[in-house]
Amino acid sequence: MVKPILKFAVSLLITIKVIYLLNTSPAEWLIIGSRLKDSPAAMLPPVGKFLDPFNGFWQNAEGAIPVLPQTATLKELQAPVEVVFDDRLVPHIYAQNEHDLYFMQGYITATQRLWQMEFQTHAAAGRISEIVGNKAIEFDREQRFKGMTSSAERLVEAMKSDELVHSITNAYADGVNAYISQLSYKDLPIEYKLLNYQPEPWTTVKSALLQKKMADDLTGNNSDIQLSNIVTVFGKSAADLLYPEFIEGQDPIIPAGTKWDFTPVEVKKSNASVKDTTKTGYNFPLDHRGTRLSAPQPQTEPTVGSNNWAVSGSKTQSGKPILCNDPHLQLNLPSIWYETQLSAPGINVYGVTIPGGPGIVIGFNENIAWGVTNAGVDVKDFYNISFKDNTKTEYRYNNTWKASTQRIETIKVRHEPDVIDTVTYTHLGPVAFEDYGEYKQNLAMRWKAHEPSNEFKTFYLLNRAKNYSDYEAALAFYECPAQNFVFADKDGDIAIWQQGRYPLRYKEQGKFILDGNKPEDEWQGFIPKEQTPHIKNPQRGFVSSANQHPTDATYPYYYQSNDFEFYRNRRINRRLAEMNKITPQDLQKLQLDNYNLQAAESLPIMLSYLKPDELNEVETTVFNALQSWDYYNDADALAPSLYENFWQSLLADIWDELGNRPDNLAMVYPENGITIQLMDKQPNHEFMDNLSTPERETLADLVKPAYSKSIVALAKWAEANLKPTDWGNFKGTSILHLARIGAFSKTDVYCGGNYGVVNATGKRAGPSWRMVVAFTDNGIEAQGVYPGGQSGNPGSPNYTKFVDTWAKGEYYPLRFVKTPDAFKTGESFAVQQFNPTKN
Amino acid sequence: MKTTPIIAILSAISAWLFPWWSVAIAAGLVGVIANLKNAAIAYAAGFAGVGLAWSSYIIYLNFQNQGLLLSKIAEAFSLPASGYLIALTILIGSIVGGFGCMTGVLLRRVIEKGRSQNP
Repeated sequence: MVKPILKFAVSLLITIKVIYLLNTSPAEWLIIGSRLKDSPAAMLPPVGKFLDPFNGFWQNAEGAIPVLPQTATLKELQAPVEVVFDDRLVPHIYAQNEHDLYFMQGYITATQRLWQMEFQTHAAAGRISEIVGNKAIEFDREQRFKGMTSSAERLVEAMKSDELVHSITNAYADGVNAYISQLSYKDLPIEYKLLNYQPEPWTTVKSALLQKKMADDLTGNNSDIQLSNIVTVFGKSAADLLYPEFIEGQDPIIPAGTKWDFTPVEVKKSNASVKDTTKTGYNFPLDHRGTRLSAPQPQTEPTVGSNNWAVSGSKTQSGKPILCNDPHLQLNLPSIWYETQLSAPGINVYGVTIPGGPGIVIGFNENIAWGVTNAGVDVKDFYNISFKDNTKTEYRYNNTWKASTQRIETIKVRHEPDVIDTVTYTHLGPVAFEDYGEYKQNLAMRWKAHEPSNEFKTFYLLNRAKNYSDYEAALAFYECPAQNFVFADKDGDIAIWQQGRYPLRYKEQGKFILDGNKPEDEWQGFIPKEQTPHIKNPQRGFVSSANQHPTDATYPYYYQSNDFEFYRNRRINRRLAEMNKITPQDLQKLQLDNYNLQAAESLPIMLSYLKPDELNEVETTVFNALQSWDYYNDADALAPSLYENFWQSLLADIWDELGNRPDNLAMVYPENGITIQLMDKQPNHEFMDNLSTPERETLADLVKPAYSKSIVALAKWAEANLKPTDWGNFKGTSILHLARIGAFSKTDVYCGGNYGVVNATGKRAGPSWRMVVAFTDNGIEAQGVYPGGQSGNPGSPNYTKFVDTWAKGEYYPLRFVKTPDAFKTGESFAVQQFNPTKN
Repeated sequence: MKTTPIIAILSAISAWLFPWWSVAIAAGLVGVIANLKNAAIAYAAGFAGVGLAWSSYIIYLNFQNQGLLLSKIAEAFSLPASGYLIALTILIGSIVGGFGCMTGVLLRRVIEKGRSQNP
C-alpha cells in the first residue's frame, strides 16, 4: 500500500512543481528569482501561461478582419449606440446623447489601444520602473521632478468647476473602465502578457496626464541652462550673434508688415540678470545632464515640428477653401493618433484623437476644418534658488526667507524596493534641478504647463464649431502647449491663430537662468488672448505656419524660442504664393515636397571652398554629383546623403566650441540658418577657429577636411550596412514600439524628406498624420494617412497597415458618413450595436 | 489507443474554460478513468493528447494570422526561428499533460490497492 501512495505522491508533487515553474515568472521563483536580478531571464513572463494557445500570446494573433460581436450590452449606456468599423477599421460612433458618445469613444479606443493609453500615462507620471524595472528609474525621477502628476491633479481639480468638461472626461473614463472590467488574461493586449502586468482602472487624472505629456513634448524643450553657459563662457555679444531674437530673411506666420490694431499691456523693465559685460554674466556653469537619462522613451528629437495651411477659394480650382495639416512628431507604434468619427445630436466630427483623451484633436465637421502646428514659444523658465540650509525648507525670496513645500515621490520598481525621493516646491514651481553641477545649484522651474487650463473644452467646442466666431470662442480656453490653429469653413473664411497663454516678459527675460530671489524676475502677467498673433482672410489668399516666428519684430511683446523654423515655412509660402487654381492633389504634392531649401542656401557656399585640383578621384565624382543636384531629398537620390554627411561634418568642426567640450558644459548649437549666414558673411569669424590646433582657422580651412571626412564616413556606412547609400536607405526612418520592443517596431522605412524639408520625415520623427480637407459643393472631401494602423495590437495585420501607403506618399479617402446606414457595400467591416441593459 | 484523442478533446475544453494548467487535471481524470497499463504509457498518452490539442489549435491560429505574431514573439525571445516557439509551446503542453495523466494512473493504482485490501 505504501509504495503506490509514494509513487502517486512523487508524481503529484512533480506535476505541481512543473506547473508552478511554468505559471510564475522566473523572477518570482523561490531562491533562483532573486539571483536573476538584471539578467534577461528576470523579464520573462510565466512561460506556460504565456505560451498557452487558449489564453496566452497566441490569442493575440488576430486575422485581418477582427471578429467583433454584432450586439453587446453595456449597462452604463443611456440609449443604444451604433458603431461602424469601416474598411480601414476606423470607428464611426453614432450615439443619441453626449454621455453615450464620449463613453463609447473611451470604450472603443480602449478596445484598440488600451496598452498604449496606459503606458503613455505611466510614462508621463514617471511610473515606467513599475513595468520594466530599475533601468527606468532615472527617467521616472525626471518626470517626478518636472511635476507632471501634481499638475495633472491640479488640472482634474480645476475641471471639476466646469460641469461640461468634468462630465465628458468622466464619461470617457467610464467607457475605458467598462472595457477593462470585461478583460480576462486571455483578452489582454500582448504587451501586458509579455511584460507580465495588469491594466489598472482609468481615471480622469490619466487623461489630464496625457494633456500634460503633450505640453511636455511640445514646450518641454528649453535652452536656458545652455544659453547661460554660453553667455558665461563666450560673453553676451556672442550670445546675441548666435541666438538672435529674429533671423534675417525670416517669413513669419503673420505676414511681415501686418499692423497690430491693439494697445499693448505695459511691461515693466527689470534690472536684467545678464549685463553686457563679457564672460562675467554667470559664474555657475552647469554640465550636461542629458547623458544621465536612459529613458525607455527617449527625448523628443529636434525634428519635431509641423506644417499647416489653408488656401482661400480665390486660389483654388473649386472656389472653396482647402485646409492641410501634417504634425511632425516622434514616430512610434502604436501610432500617437487614432482616427475616429463622433456623431450625436449637435455634433458630427471626423479626425484624429490621441488615445486617452475625449474628442477630436485635428479634423473637420460639416462646417469647418482645423489643424495645429506647434508654436514653440518658450513658456518654461528656470530660477536660481538659495536655500537657507540643507533641509531646503526655506529659500531666499525678496531678501527674506520663504517656506517651501515638499512632495514625497515613491517610485515603485519591479522586483526591487521602492525608490523614495522628495521634490521641493517653491512658489515658482518644483526644484527640477537639485544640488546640480559643480556649484550645487538649485533651479526651480516655472512652466505654463504646471497651471491648470481647459484644453479639453477647446476641442469640445471646436468639434461643434460652425464658423469663425465659434472657432474664436473655442480657442479662448486654450493655454498650453501653444499651437497655431489653422481654420477654414464652408462659407469661405480662412484664418490662423497662434493660441497659447504667454507670459509678459521684459526683453530677454527667461532666455537665461533667472534669479529666484528677485520678484521683478517673475512673470508679470500674460498677453491678453485677443492680442496673440492671428489673421483672418489675408490678401495673399492663404494662411500657413511651420513652427517659425509668429510675427516680425514690430509685434509689441517680447517672445523667444530656441528652435524657430527657417526653411520649411519659406518653401511653403513661396509655393503657395506661386500656385493658383489649386486642387487637393496639388496640396498633397506640397505636403510631400522634398525640396531642401537649407541645402540650396548652404551647399553653394560649401562647394565654393573646394578647389577641383585638390580633390582625388572619388572626391571629384562626389563634387560633380553635389553640383548637379536639384536639392530634392528624394528617397532614391544619392546627393542628399552626400550633402547631409558633408553638412554634419562641417557643422561639428565649426562648433567645436559648443559640442564635445572637455569641461562637459551643456551648450546648444545655433539654428542652422544662423550658422549658414555666418558662413556666408563672416567666414573668418573667431568661431571658425578649431580650438584644438595652434593655428587660427577660417571657414576656408575647415571645408576640405570636413568634406573628405564625410565621404570616408559614408563609404564606411555602406560597408557596415551592406546597403547602397541612396537617401531612403541612409536616412532609414524608424517607427519604434513605445516600450522599444524591437520585434514590435518597424525600422528602415524607405522614404524621402528630412528636417527642414516640407516633407519633414527624419530618422525618428516626421509627419505623424497627413490630412487634406477640401470644401466642395457636395460637402467635405478629405484625405489622410498616418504611419501606423488603427489596431494597437502588434499581432494584427492592422497594426502597421498604413505604413507603406504613408511611405509612398499616398492617401486614403476619409469616410465622413452621416448615418450608419449610409455606408456603401465594401466600405465597412463590421457594425456593432451596443444596448443599455433592459430593466 | 482511444485515450489520446479523449485527452485532446477534454484538455481543449478545460483550457478553454479554465487556466492553462487545468490540462493536467483533464489528463489526470482520463488517467484515473481509463485502464492504462502502466505509468509510462499514461505519460505517453497525456503527452500526446495535450500535444495534439495544442498543436492543432496553434496551426489554426497561426494560419489565420499568417505567422505574423509568431515571428515577432520568436524575435522578442531571440529565438533563431519561429519553429522553436511552436515546438516549445507544444512541448510545455505535452509535458504538463504527461505528468497529469501519469499522476492520474498512479492515483488509480492507490484506489485499486485500497479496494483490494479492504473488500
